[in-house]
Amino acid sequence: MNAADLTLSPGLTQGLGLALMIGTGLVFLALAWLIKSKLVRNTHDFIISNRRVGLGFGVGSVISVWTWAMAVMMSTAMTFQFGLSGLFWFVVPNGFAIMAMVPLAKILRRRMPAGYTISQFAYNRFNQSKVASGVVTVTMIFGILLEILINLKGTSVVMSTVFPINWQVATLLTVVVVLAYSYFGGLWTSVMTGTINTWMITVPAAIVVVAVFGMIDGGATTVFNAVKAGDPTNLSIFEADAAAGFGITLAFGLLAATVADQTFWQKVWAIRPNQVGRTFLWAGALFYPIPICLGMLGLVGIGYGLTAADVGGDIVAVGPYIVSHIGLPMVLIIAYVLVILAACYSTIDGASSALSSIVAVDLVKRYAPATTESRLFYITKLSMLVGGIIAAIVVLSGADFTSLVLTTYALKTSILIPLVLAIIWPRTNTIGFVGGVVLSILIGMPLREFYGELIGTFSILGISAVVVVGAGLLGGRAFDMRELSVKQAVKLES
Amino acid sequence: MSILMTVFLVLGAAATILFVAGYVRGVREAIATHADPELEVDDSGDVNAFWWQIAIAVVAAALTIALAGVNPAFIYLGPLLVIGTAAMNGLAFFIDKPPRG
Repeated sequence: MNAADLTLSPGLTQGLGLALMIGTGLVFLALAWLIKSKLVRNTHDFIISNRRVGLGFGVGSVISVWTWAMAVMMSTAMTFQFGLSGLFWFVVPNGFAIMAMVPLAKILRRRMPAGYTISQFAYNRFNQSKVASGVVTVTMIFGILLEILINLKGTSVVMSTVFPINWQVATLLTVVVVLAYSYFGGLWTSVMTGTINTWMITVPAAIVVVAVFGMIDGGATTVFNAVKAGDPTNLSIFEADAAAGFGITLAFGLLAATVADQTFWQKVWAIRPNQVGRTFLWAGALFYPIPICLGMLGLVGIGYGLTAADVGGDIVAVGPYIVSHIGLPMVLIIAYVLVILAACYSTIDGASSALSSIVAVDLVKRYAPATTESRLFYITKLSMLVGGIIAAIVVLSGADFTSLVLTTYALKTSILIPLVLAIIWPRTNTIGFVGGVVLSILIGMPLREFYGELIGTFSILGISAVVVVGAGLLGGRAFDMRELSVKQAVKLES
Repeated sequence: MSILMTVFLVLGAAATILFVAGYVRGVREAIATHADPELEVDDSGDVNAFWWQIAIAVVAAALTIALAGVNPAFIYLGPLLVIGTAAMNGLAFFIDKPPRG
């Protein structure tokens, strides 16, 4: 196995790449049109699917929104960089983060059966506090924008690595394609196209990975032996480098990424109540094989002795590089590209759909409750376009995401424990919730700056927990959780 | 084409058939029940004892990754399981029986 043996497959033209991007979008657009005509009557249908999403669409859509374009490539990249221990620390917390939603989702769905958003829960839970719900709303919006940004970036990396397509063109086209079909059917479109995307991420990925090993004389045995000969620790999951390098902080970051993300809470209230827990349980367990399968390409990269420079400087591109350079038939290279596009499209449309629910419930209906249904419907749909356009401008401007990543990290990590306690501990109060978030950011972020991500993350989590528990113990009465089902902040059904 | 590739193509096709059949059923159910005005609150059919199932899933994932470092044959376990993901997603449509209004 020699890196010099890898050469770019012929026929990967710009036209083919663009046709794949547009073609996938047109198929979804046709489906969205059907969904709009059959299933969407009003804003309530658009943002919560009349709470009629079943187990099949629930599982498929949760898997697809959680499988980011970057995650598809990062599973390969982390294996390439750290060996199997990198894959272990990347994968195991990923699936667990979805399954950790099960108890919280079941509690909130039962106590607040007519809910729409997690900010709405905060609003009702903390006596109509606009500060508490505002903190949650801002966190959700930042998180959604970051999801869109990262997936746009991921798609542009793949399309410009595999095809001679300008990354800016790929970014722009992705936004146009996804927003075009998402605009029509809202959450129904997101869950139905997302479920198709789950098939696209799974079966083609398996075939492509097996075919990659099939292109190497001796297949998996040759790769295994080459990796072992280079550095046998790459075949162990017990190496500490990956845990210290990214694993532990990623684990907490992923928990925050699900619990503090409206993309998942929207589904909690859209799925039928007798399938909510099962959906997140199945989705988490069935998600696991996806990054494990694609992670095996990282072993191929190690076996070939590839370096970051070989793949264009960014190890995220190692998967696309192997697939496009190992000599696979064109149909399998196209299948791999569709895997990435499916991951990207489903995450962006899921995030856009979540944004529409926040705009409808937490902004328009809260601050302009007299807004008519027809007007609300248009504002809700337009909000998806606005979110996508903002994200595209940020990516196209070439701006450094660091500030946005740090802000989102700070908000999501700081809100994780206060939000969980607000759901499960009735003594959690407004002062503790807001104080916990604010103080943990004010103290924890400088600590993160000086002492690194690990200490910073634990500081933020610890401070937020201590403040919420302290305020809860010192505070007066416990909140009666039954009030959540009585309070009705918004009513969108018509 | 190798035997291994043929096996994976057959399994992939079988999973795809199950997935498509489930998907079509899911779309039909959604169209039939989407306009039901009643707010469902009965969650009695949902999973309750989930912690041990979560633990099994986590351990199984860790084991699958670890085995890839023990014997090269286990490298193909990930691709095999990911076909199972598509099949189980298809099966989910048949397990779920939505109430009709």
